Amino acid sequence: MNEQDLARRIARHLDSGTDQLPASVLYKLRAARETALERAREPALTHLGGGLLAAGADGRRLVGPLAGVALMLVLLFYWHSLQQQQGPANELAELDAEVLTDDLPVSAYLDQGFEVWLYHHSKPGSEQ
Amino acid sequence: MALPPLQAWLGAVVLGATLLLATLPAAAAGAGPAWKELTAEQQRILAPLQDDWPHIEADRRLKWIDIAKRYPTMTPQQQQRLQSRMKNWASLSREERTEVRKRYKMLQKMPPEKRAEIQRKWAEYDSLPEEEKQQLRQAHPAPARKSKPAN
Repeated sequence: MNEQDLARRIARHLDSGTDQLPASVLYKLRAARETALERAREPALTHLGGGLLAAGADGRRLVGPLAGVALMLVLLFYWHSLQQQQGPANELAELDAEVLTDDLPVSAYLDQGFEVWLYHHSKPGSEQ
Repeated sequence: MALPPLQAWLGAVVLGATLLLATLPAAAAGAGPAWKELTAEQQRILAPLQDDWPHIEADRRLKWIDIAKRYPTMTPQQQQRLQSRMKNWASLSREERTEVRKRYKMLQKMPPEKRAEIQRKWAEYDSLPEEEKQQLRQAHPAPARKSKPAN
């Protein structure tokens, strides 16, 4: 007798008992089977959660690390955005502080008359 | 009571992260610190800007606060210059400030003797009668440099 024959015999023996099962037991088995099939059709992630009661400790164990990763990402992005904002602002503050405290006043850079005057007084031998 | 499924937890975390990301930079930029939120020391240094402060954009407010931080390291002369010039500086348009910064950088690249000469010439120009300066302003733009006689 090979393995397949043995399996068939066992299955036949088990099946012979199912005909005598009470209706209430059959009903419970059918319901359990349908529930199991229904769950098998759902995405794995839903099952993991499936309510933490259903997923048990697995779901609970995942929440912490995932929340931690999300928090780290948030902090990383926030730090990065702050760096981007502060970098140019600091440079500009430094430059403006220099401009505002320089020997040459700000008006010298914008006074168009000075530009003309400077041009005429820069030409060799053209002192007025 | 059934606890929410993991998907709901994840959704909440992702939503929270998104909201945080969206609001934090905005809060950092925002309207900028109000005048009353400045320290007494910052208010003293930036006093010339007090009236204009509500109209100054957030990024510029932060810049002024940064400048105020540098104030204690400045010489008394620099401190006096800063305070006497900041109001006028704040009243300039963005384009004018950009132009000044550009010209300042150009000047800094010149040799020290050339910079000193320009400062001396400014002092000369500044001492001219206002009428004469006005005439010169009306003569702007200055003749093109290419018409300058060759040395």
